[in-house]
Amino acid sequence: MNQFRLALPPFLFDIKTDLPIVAENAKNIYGDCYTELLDENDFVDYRLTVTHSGGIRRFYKPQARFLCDEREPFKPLNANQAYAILEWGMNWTVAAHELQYVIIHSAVLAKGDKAIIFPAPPGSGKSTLTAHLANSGWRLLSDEMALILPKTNQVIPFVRPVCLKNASIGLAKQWFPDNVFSTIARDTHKGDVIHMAPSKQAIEQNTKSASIVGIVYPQYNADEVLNIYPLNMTDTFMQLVHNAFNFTAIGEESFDTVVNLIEQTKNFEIQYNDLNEVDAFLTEEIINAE
Amino acid sequence: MLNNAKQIVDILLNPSLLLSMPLAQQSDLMIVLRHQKIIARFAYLTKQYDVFDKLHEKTQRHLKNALKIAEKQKEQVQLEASLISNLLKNESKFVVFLKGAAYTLSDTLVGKGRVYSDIDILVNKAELKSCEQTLAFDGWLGQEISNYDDKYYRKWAHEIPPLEHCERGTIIDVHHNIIPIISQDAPTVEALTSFIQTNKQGIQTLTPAAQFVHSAVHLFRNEDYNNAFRDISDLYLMLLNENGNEVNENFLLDVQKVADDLTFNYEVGLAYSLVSQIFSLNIPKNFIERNLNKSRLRTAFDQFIFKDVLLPQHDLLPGSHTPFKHFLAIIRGHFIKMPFALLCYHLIVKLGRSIIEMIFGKHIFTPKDEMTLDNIEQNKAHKN
Repeated sequence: MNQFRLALPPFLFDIKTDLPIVAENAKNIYGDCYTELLDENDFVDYRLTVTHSGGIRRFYKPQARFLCDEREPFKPLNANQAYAILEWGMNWTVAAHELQYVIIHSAVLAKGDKAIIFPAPPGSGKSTLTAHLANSGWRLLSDEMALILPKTNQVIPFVRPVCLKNASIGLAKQWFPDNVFSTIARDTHKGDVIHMAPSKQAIEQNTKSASIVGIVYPQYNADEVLNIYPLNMTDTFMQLVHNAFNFTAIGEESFDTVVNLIEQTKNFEIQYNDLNEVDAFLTEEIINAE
Repeated sequence: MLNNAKQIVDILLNPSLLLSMPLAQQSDLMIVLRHQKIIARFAYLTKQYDVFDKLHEKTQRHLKNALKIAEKQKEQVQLEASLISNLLKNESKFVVFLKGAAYTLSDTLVGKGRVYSDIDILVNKAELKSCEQTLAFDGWLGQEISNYDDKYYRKWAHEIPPLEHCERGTIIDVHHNIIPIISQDAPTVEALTSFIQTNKQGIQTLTPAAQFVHSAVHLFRNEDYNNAFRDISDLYLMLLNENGNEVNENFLLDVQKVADDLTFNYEVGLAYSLVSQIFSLNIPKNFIERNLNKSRLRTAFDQFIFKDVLLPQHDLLPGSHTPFKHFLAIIRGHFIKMPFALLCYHLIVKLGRSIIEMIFGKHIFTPKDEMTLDNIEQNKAHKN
């Protein structure tokens, strides 16, 4: 078994794996956050394992299993998807255990200390938008989850790669030829999937929180350059709750946090096919508005 | 690295030991306690012993996460208990909450930070059918299971298949006895009803002494020992007096009455002897001995396997895995529950499956649909 650690503030993961593509990809994607030197004095938050299923399954249609400590939250995937199962497993681990933050399923990007969160279901084009913004002067705080300090508008970075699917994979490689990509996980439930490493600058600022000033629900639409729909508070509330992993578990505190956020931020739904127009809109109407 | 399983016991008995523990050891401890399902219980103890505020923020964060879940569950259980009690009060002579839910509802030391995945209730067997129907109308539905399984549950077991509430997602296990009918010494309804208590809100549980006996019977007639350390620590906490350091002798007398009436002396005797061994609790010898009413060989065998099987087992605790004793405990559990012929059949099926898993990999019997983060979101949204 290979063992390595990923220091991804605010958490430290210890990972064991007997599948070489897991360690190779993690090393590639996380750069300085990856280490094989295990400091015995470190406080490890979660011990994760990605391993094959054993028996002759190792040779015939090999599988990859994910375990958080000794719990196995998902059924195994095909072994070529082993790195993806680690990324999804880390998301699950945080979403299932961490109740000190209100966690919203969304991308988080910032300019200066002002952040916008993009809650959206899979298939909305959220990750492609994230990849574009993260390479156009915005700071990536997360592609998957906004960790919000309860009763504030402060979002904590949890800097991780951007998960791109299907057609976006080719586009991203073409747009950002200098970026670092994982190997492709073929034929997952989301189709083909690749992870694109966060920038050096995003990693360097991975402990610097930002204030949420806008909540934007993106929806890619090939027929619209950019259409903007201001949302009323009720709609935003319902959508945020729908995207909050731990809303009911935290209870009253998360209710107060979400209400406070909505009252203090600008809320829009956008339909778009032009990423530069989106960028300009976000910068002018939300970041530079005050 | 932690030292051994005994260290976990020591730290439960004296949470201030945590303060002199290196930070890396504390992180391992959090992982082991979470795995043993006692992290929230431990978190309460650190508060009670004034240790919590002095801990490092990283350790605190994990304990706070556990406390949040426990608090949320407590709220949820109180709500469900009053809904279910009201719903069934005209259907069944009694609606008694058992095990984890009962500990929470009784608000005793053992209930603090106790978490569980389902709520166990006991209803009058004669009125089981109408209870099921009333529950179904209120949204409590069973998952689909095979006819064979359904028959097994109703004819041999002491509960019906689990029911899930279609909106809230809560799961209940409806029991019609406290131990499987098949084991032949299941108590009668009349014997059980004399140990039911009702609180101010009209919610029923077994009396604390009967809760203890039930917990002991459950632990020592089981064939699943994955949560065994939590279960033996339940028994330990129930035996403590108000100061929380010595055994409550009046409670021992109450327990004796229940054990004698329901003839569960042996399980109570085993519970006493193992609690006193593991947690160094001073229980008067005569209480232990008068209840251990099986042959000396049988008693020695049970004590031999349980003194290790009931300790926490985890890769982070060197030497804690005792697979042979664990295997014996499982066989023993089946043997107590089932007639010999049925046991042979059951073991052959289980053995066959584990051989196939060894050859074809762990997940050969796992159904194909994938459980992913997206599905979890959907489930969550569904439950909201």
